[in-house]
Amino acid sequence: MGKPGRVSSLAGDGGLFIPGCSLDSEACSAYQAGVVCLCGAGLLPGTMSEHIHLSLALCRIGFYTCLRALCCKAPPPPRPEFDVVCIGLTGTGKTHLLARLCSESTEGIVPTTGFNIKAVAFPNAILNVKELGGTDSIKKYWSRYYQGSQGVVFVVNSACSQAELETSRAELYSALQHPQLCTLPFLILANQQDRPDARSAHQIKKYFELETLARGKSWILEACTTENMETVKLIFGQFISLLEEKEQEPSRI
Amino acid sequence: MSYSCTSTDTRQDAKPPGARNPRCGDGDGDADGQEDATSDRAEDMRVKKGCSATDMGVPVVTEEELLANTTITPEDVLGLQKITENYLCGPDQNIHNIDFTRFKIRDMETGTALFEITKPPSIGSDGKRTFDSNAGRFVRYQFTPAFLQLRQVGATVEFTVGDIPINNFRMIERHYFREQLLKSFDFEFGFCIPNSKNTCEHIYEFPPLSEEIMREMIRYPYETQSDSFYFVDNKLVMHNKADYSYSGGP
Repeated sequence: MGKPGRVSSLAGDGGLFIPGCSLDSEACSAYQAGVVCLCGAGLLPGTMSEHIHLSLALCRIGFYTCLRALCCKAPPPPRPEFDVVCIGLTGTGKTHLLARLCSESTEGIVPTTGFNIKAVAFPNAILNVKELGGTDSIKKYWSRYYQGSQGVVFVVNSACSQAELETSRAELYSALQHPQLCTLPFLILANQQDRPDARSAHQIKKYFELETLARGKSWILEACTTENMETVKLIFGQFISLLEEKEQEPSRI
Repeated sequence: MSYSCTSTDTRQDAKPPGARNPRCGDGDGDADGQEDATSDRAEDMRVKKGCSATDMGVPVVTEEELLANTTITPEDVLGLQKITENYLCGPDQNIHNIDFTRFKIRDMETGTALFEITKPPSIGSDGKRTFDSNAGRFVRYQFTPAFLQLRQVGATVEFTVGDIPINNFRMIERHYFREQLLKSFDFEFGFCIPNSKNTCEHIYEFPPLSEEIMREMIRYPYETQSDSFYFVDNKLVMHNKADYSYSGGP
């Protein structure tokens, strides 16, 4: 079923048909109601001169505003959505990161003991994220949530102990090889870079041996911290490009 | 714009106004212990956005017909054309001890939190969390007219699950104004880990409402109502209700 996009708050009769709108006259019910378009670009033939003043005024409104504010019954094409699973050991900052991406408070965040489902909006896509707790008791269930995913976000605490880093690596390998994830794009985040003892992205990439072990797969590894959300958003933008590319691939049997 | 939201007391005996005592289906309230073979596979979580008109291809049913059934399935409730007068199941059917512990709404355009309510855990004298079976079945929301101008609202629900893992948890929520279906929302959570606490934020796109309907909704508080049906392995286990005022006052 198609997902509804943003719908103008004006509805019902009395809408305005916009030439250059993607709907043809048959689809646009406003046009069928016999309403003349007053949108600046391209006046309909036979428009009365008294409409010209109004249409010039409307010209001043940007085309984007016109499309949003005036009613054309169908919404503009919605942003693509991708289903993504977010995993990583406990304490790596998954819940915190997602809360910040959604501009929500991080007060009172405790270790996740199940899943957190959130729709995270980006300028050109929406990620429906299933974030899973990383405690021992929860991570054994991770694979129950893999089906239907289109991408994986794997979070690492860059300042964790060596033992933890080793465990992280094992979990990452497991995910990379899992039948339901092995063909999907991976975003690996070397998080918590604000910590003084944080390893660099290069060090982590080397330790994880991704150049060899993830060869042929689609992945990005980047350093980040919630102290710099602009960078986080840029990184997710890159990941979204990978997801889009994957989507456009012809599916193999 | 200002919003004011209140909720009813979520104590055990909260009932929707004017409702008779909830009747339940004749279904055996206890688990029959048999899991459907097909429910073994992990269901992926997905949202099925219902249309804002009658769902296509689903036979129309009445509440009375459903109450005569042993069990009620998701397809059954998708055929309901109006808000039910009664609860379609009793608290004893919630054998998985699903408990809703928090609810929050925010405006997606500005990120502003509009409303939040948390249910304190009920602790028995033995220190264990007691199962408060009737709590939270009904909520009354009081919004100002400005609420109807929102386009996208994020609604977060937090819930806990008991000892039994759940293979396929699904929610269908239907909003009506009088007898008109405004929006049907269908979300499959899929698998739920035993003894977990989970959150889910779903984005409500406000259906296109004509100025006329919005005026009526504002003018007639509590005639906007919703039924939330919860299914485990395609059987109804919980039914919550809510009603809504947009007039800005009690």
